[in-house]
Amino acid sequence: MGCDRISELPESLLTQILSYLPTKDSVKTSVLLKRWENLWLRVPVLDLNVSNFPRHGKGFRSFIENFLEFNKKSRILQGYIYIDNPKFVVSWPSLKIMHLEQIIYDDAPLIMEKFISGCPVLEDLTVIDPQDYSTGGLQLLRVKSQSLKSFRLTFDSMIMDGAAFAVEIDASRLEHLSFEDNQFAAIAVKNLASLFMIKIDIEFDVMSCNSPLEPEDLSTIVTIHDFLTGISSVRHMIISESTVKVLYLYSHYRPIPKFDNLYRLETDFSRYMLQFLPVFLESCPNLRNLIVKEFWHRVPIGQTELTYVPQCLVSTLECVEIKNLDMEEESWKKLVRYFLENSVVLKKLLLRFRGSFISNRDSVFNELLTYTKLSPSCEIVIH
Amino acid sequence: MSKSEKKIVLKSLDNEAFEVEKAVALQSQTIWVMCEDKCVGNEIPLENVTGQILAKVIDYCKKHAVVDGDGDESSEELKNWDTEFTKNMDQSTLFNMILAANYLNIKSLLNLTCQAVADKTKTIDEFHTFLNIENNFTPEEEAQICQENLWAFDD
Repeated sequence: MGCDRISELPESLLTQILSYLPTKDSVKTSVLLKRWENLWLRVPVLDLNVSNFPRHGKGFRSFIENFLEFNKKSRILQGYIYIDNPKFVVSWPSLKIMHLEQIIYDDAPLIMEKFISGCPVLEDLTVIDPQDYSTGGLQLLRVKSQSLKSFRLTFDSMIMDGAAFAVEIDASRLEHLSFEDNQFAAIAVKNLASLFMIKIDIEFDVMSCNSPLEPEDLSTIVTIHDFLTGISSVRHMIISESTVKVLYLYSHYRPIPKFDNLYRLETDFSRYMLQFLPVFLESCPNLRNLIVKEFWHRVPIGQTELTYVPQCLVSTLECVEIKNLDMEEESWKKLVRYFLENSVVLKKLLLRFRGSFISNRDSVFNELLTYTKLSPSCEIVIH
Repeated sequence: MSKSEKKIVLKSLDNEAFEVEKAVALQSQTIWVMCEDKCVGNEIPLENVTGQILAKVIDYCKKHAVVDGDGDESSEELKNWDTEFTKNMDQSTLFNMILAANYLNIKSLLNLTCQAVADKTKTIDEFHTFLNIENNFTPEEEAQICQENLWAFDD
């Protein structure tokens, strides 16, 4: 077919295609065809890398301002940004999605607050690797917004000198919150009653010191307590193994608050923390789905006995999935028996084994059938 | 619900008929609205989509209807399937898929196909080749445009 099919597409579809290109590439399409000369200006996404602009001068900043001036409906800004001017003004009244990677700020400590307060309808904010060169000590990121629905903060690279990072969040409409790294020392949250889903991988500076939480670490204990209380309305939680470890240490001093709305929990559990599992589940009285993502470890399971039966096993837990099981060793059976023997309303138990080929699948299945099931209708599935 | 009510027949522009599960077809907002209106029977005519393209759209919808959303493997697998699905499509098929996804209002398929075009056109030359279009600027006009946004053209 020797014809130009793309001309048949309406402009909205052309700009949608361009929205998947970095802005640098979509600007280049201005020389494709006359019809395309200004098309890139109508793309609702700005995806910029500051290193593409001349090192000195206002090029980068004025480009953003001009673009947003022309395209007032622009919804997305993403890019690598370096801000060196404390007078930098942000006013993007229609921006809904902002994805900032490696934002570096110098001499402008409040720049993140400016970004957020300058975007009154911002709904989705992702910040990856923020670096603050203006202060030597604690780096603070303050997120205060009445419109924000989703916030994700991630560190890809290590922070130098072990500098700790503190985060303060006050966002009454926030539904999704994700911390995908563990370099935070302090987190303070406020007004998170709308919170639906949280993904946490935070160590609260506990693990890096390589010392268990001591009674003297009162401020850390209080921080953890306030954080857990602040997110207690969450409905779906994904929690990393290291954060579970911190909660395990924390639980020696204070009880874990109740997550009354939590219906789905995804977590990694090391076997040596097995006795903590019922304790943690006790904090989730209405849990329906439990997914244990990782369950294997070189350390033998030992004599840990699972006897305590938390509330959710008695009344709500309907589906349990355990992944990454090791067929070669036996300790997973203890966990499986625990759920089968104690869950009253369990409908489905899904077991995923490591490796694609399971040689003795039938014998495992037959053995599972001999276990006592408190919930007679429970279906067992093996992958 | 009886067995016949669960199925639905989609009829393409060139009169090819496809019998599919209702749950598969209802991923299309357009078909969903048609069914809600109850002004169509069990057979839905799709006047903008050829049988060849509709078959591909149905493949996509079938794949995306079965997954229950549980577990990382399945979403990972789905992603790989999506990549394979668009990988070898020529530009004509891809553009017809975009138009079909737009007409049928299947958002995830529209995103996937637009992304696929973008992935195949990383440079201006690729754009010209893949999109099969000739530049209609004079060299002076082109130089003028480049000058306005020099930063984007300097490599």
